[in-house]
Amino acid sequence: MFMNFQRFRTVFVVIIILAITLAFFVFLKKRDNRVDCVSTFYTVPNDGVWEYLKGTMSVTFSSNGQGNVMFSGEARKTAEAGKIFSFERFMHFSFEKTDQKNYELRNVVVSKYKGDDLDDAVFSKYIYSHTSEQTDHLVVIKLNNGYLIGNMVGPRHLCVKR
Amino acid sequence: MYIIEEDFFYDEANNAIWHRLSENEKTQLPLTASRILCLLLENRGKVMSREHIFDEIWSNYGANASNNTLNQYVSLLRKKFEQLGFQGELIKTITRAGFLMPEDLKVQQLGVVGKPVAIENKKPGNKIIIISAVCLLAITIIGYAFINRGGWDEDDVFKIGSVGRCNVYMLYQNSPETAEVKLRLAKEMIDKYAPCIGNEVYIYHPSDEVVLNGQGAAFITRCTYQKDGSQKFAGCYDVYEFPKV
Repeated sequence: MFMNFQRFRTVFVVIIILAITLAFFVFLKKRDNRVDCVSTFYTVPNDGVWEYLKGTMSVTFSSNGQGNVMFSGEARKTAEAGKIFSFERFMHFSFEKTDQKNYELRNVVVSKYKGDDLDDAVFSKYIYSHTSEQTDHLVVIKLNNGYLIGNMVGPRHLCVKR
Repeated sequence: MYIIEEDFFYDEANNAIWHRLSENEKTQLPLTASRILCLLLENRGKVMSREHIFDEIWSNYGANASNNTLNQYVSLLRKKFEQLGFQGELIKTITRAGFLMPEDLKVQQLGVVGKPVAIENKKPGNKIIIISAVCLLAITIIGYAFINRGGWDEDDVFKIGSVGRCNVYMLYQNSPETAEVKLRLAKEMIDKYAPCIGNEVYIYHPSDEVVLNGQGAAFITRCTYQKDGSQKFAGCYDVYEFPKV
């Protein structure tokens, strides 16, 4: 027999509402995967050579699996009458979220801007370095409206949503 | 006016039925048969007891009828529709219960201007489904808004004490003894690199070496709240101290 029009309309409305709910969850899930934040940091090397490295770090993890991190700031030497060096580096990578907190980074490429005169070894030692295979592992914990970002050892930045 | 199974028209105002292809050959129904047909159409999918039909068709009009009279009118309706070419079961007899017009019978009601309108479905089940689905959606949205209302869940962090007016938290639970040691170490970093100005919070994460012999790496961040009272962070100042060489 023919399907009753009233029943069809009810089923249609229910399907529409469920589809909206599903779309809403997919939207939230996608939004959840996005990270867009900024952090101000002050690093103390305690090596007798460098007094500090300080600056800002902005992080973007897009929903398409691509990410960027921008570091900019200055480093002051203890020696050489407190000479100051600048750093301004852009890091691009592709990432995969392996679970709620862990991100695997691949194809990590760090580019240096023109005004950057900080030695690569210092940057790698105190700010950021990846493996020789251009991979890395990040731990990102959502905390309030920020992200506590670090490695397996511990957190390094609390990056607050922009 | 009703259209039954797309081909059969029923004009309840004039008590007439006809086939779509023979509009000029209308069959006139007795008033009582028309009322019974109308009652069954309006209650499709529901078993109408004989008592209910008696009340609706006769008692409410100050008349009485027997079971036999009712059976005759139902038979008449079946026969008239059959004569128009209706195939299938228009009215089912439910033994010892009454009569039923099948719910899956395709019926449309024509409006005043001749536009088809759906017959109001009196089944409460459909409304319940729609209301439940709308409630589900509303609860989801309200729940999400509540979860993201701002502020942070202190279950995520553990307070170890305060420095001035600023609370100091860690990412894991500590015993009162270790919390005291770690609060002292945190205070050293706070005083040296990021003093408590007002109502900020600190999150402290020392390495084990720092706690054991004061020679490891340690992280502390000072976070200020937004001015709108939402308890969301406006910004954080991160300090990371490498082990002393």
